[in-house]
Amino acid sequence: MIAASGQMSLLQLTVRVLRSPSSLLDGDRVPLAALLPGLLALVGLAGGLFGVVIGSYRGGIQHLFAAIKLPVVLMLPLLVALPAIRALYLAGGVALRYDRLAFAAMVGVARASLLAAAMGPALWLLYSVNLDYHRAVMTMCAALCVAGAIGLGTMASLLPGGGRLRVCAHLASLVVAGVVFAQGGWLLRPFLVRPRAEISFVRPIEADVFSSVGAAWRSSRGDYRGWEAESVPLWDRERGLQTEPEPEPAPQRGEDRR
Amino acid sequence: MIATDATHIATAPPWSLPTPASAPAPTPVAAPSVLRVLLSVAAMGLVAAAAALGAADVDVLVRAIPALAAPTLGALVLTAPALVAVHQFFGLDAAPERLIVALAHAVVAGGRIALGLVPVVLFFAATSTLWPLALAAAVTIPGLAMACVAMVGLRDAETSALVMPPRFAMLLVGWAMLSLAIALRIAVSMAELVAEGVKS
Amino acid sequence: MTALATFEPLAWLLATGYIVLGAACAVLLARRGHPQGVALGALACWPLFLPLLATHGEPAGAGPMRARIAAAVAALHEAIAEPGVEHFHLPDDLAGLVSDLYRADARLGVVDRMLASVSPSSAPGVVHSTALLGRARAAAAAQIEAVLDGVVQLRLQIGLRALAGNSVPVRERLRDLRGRLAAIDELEAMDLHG
Repeated sequence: MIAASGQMSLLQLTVRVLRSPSSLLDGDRVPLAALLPGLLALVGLAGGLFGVVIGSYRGGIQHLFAAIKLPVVLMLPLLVALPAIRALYLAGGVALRYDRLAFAAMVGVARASLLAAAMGPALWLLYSVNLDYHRAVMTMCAALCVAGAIGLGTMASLLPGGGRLRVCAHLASLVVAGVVFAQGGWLLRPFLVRPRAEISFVRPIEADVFSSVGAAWRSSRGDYRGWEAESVPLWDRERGLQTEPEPEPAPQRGEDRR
Repeated sequence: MIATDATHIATAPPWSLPTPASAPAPTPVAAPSVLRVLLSVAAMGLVAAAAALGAADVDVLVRAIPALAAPTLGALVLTAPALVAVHQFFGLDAAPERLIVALAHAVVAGGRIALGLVPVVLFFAATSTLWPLALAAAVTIPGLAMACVAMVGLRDAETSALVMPPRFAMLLVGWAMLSLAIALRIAVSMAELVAEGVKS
Repeated sequence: MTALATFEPLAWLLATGYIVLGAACAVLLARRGHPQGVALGALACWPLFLPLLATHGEPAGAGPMRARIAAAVAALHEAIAEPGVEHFHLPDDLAGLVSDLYRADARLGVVDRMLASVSPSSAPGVVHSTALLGRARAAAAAQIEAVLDGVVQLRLQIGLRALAGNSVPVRERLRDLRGRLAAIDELEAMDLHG
């Protein structure tokens, strides 16, 4: 099995990752050296393909930018959060070796990338019919959520069994990896660029993903201050907001702000 | 009668409930070394330092390190003697050493999680203004994990049976609530300490 | 924008540190005989490749004892999975030992192929060298056999722990076994290069 995995072509590896990821394991032994380069290549190719589709919303050089950035965003949770995830599983009573976790996480991300790439054509079709920007963002998020959920399930299935607090470890790992993924996506934005906006590879480091989510929430309620208002540090929020322009007068009873 | 030897029979309080004869004995667990426990405490300080790097201020860094280790460890140190004392007073089965070992394992698990969180916290400290939130998460996640591991460990120390003795369950819940309250109280003081460092 | 001034240097510092560590990891992996793809992957994603730092790359050719080594290691892992020894964790040294075993076995394979390819000759130099290589091969094979026996003994000791609940000096045992494998290297150095 190990020898075979060492000589596996990318196509054979794709088939194994999609059909039966557990068959890549050799008993308790993880053929990490034989598999990791191939899995990384799969994430690069499939994630890049999905990135091209995302970039097609704006077109031009954004095709390339999104194709480069998307695999990086997919890999970030693994590169940053893997030690924390292992510690959480160990605390949960799962006897988990680092190589096994790296293997499981990598196969999970590869599977998610491949499925995201498979959703690419449908997404491209939607983007090609002048879809509204917010709806385009939502469809991209939905595609990533579906692929991500399957990837996480794959990863969980490849981990060793046992552990009294296994479910807690799953949930805590999901939170840690999810938060890192969200901040990584924010850091490497833009992926979908508004039709009239200027294209850039990455924007300067500013604020964080939570302020963006907060701004989106406020926008949906008719408050269009934007996330810049949130870039004031938390402990200085009161003083920072005093420098903001005077808010609009409160609406009269029965008057709708929207 | 709660135990098998004569000493326990003599000292068993009158309100003790009988333990089922078929209850399986708890599995022995080796104690972690003192060095490991100390390293785990150091790891909690390290994750605090990593989060405080986002403030780029030495004063904040110095205040943040005890701020992170204090709530969880303080709660554990303050409540562990009470736990052991009440456990013995109730005449429950587990040896006090086993309770301490369970708590030591919880500290090791918390330290390991804190160490694992260092890259995550550094990532947030370097790419956002969220270092106070990262600091709070670095207190909360290892703290909650420690509490869960301690509860499971204490339960395993007491019995391997499916159902816990009601008195032990009551003790466990009471201990957890007291620990949480003490940890929150210390955390408030520590947050004030860090906030002073930020303002100065 | 005031906040930018506080975290941008840290971001740069961390990024530089990540790249430097990645380069170091890639160089180490390449030196340990891992393929170029592994070293290249480690350059970008070194946290995933850290477990490979403890192992050596597997030589291309498989040796004559490969199946036996795999069976012995699998049996050891099965013993660990048995009920009663769930809390027993094999130390990380085992991965290194297994890797060393495969390397030693692969070198046996190389020697076997060499011996098979040499045509019978009456030249005294060739006869002497062939005999020397044959002796070195026999000594190396004996050491691998001894290590495999040691792995079986270790498995039995773990079984003893399940019964008696006493501690097993696994780390010391693995150190002994690795010492035996190191003896093969010394033997080869003495016989082949001496």
